[in-house]
Amino acid sequence: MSRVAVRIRDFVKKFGNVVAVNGLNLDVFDGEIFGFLGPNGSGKSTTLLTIATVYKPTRGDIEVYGFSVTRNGDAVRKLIGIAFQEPKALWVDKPYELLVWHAMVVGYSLIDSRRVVRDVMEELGLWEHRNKLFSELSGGTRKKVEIAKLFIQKPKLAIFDEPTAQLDVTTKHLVWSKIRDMNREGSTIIVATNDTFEAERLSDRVGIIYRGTLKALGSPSELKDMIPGGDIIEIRVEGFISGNALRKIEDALETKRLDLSNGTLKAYVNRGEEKVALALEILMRENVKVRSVAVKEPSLDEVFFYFTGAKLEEVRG
Amino acid sequence: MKEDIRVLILVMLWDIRKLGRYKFFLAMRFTWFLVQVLVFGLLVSAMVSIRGPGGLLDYYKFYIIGAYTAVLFSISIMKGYDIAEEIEDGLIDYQLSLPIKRRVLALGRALGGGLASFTYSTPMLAVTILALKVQNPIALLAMTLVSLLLAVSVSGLAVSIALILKSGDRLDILMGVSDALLIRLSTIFYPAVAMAAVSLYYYAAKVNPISYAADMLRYVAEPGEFSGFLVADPLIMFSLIAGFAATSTIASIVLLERKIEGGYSR
Repeated sequence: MSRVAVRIRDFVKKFGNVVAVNGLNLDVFDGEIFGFLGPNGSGKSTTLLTIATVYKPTRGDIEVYGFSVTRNGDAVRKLIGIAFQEPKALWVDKPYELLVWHAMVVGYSLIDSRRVVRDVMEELGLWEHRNKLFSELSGGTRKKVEIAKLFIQKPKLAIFDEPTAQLDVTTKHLVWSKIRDMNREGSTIIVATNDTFEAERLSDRVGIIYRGTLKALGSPSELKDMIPGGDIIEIRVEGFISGNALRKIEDALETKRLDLSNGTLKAYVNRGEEKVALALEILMRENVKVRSVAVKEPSLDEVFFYFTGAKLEEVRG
Repeated sequence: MKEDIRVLILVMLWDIRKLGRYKFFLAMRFTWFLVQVLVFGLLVSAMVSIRGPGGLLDYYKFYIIGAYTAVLFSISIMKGYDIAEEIEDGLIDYQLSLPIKRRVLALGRALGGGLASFTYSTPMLAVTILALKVQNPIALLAMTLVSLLLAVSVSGLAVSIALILKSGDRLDILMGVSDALLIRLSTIFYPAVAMAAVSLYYYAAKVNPISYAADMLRYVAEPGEFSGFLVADPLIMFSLIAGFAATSTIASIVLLERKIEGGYSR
């Protein structure tokens, strides 16, 4: 996973006076599933559309497998494919015709196009809608048509912008599974999402972008571990815990905070899963009877709020 | 090169496959054209009498070809609205992301748009040919070629303007003004010799490519009929029309390759 698929350097994108992305530096590695996490308007889509050569950088550059989006756009486009956030079709388009046209543009022969389009449409439950007008399709079905383009194309770098927005739970899981299949078959994947569950579920690494700036980068578990005292070791005990025992736990676990109330000890630590055994050992040495133990790690939502400093109202707005 | 041609054809098909979209619009256009040929053409030609170096002008024939050129121009200008709609729906973003060279995309859209516009206009061309009783196959072929060149030129221009403006409203205003000016300040409805009475009008028509397209169609349809009423020598007219087609197509290629990026301007 060491070869760089996408190298983003000092990338700035302005629309008039509005700065959509401000000095982004990021590497996406070959073969990984990279999650781009951020709220609406954070600069995710702008970055993805620039990778896809739809936008041009205002400053800086982006390279896709060594090809610059500004200087070698034709070469970049041969390597990438993008499923847009909003499905792209005219209201009079019919899914089958649109997808066959797409398949042919990305290199299939007419016969192969028809075959692969049928296969993908059947897998996504789209076949019965093949000859309907786009205007007659539900939001979820339109979204599936948009995603189908990438499952047909199977590009070296596949970019999914909010792939499961508007999809029902079953289809969401189907799409995630197909994205993973694509990845196993050799595609590097970038998934932009504002759904932390999706980011965690799919991604090898996650980049948190907020107001046009990258705030944090790492695997979901690394990001969680970056929050000081983010893990909570929760131990329910019977009887009394001495002050001495609490001090030993505090020192050994390097807790950020330690609470004891109603027979429940809560230790706020880093890497809780590694320290839980130590806490138990101390309690047992102090003859404290342990009834239950749990280690809770922060959710990616909490990680997001921690790194962006955003308030819930602000993100909603 | 082979791959570029394959993709070029696919891009052209993008426009051609939408032929069925405007059935109602085309039916309206066709009906209006028939009214022009069967009613207004006859009425106006009874009122207008223009004498030139070659004698008295058959204004009915002159008018019909002018009406056809105006219809072809308007249909080709519609390509701009198609593009504006595609920009608003994000379809241009989609096309810009596809593995297609920008110049192939621009050329395909200009040629596809021109071919689609020309195809839309073929019922009107057929009526014109029938009304003028043109039977010479070379004349028919030449009329087709000139119509196609005009359609490609205007479509290319409309595509370029739509891509620059990125807004249906702004395009609406500009296209309305262009349509009014380019049609009126041309030899579509009056021959250059009659327009000479107002020098500004005359010189505007002399530099207007629509004048050359209309008069070239007149020349190839009835070579003898309109001599003395044409805006320029046929060879010059043809060169200018071909030049207009090439310039507008190259302009859209350059724009798309160097300047254009996605997004929609409200």
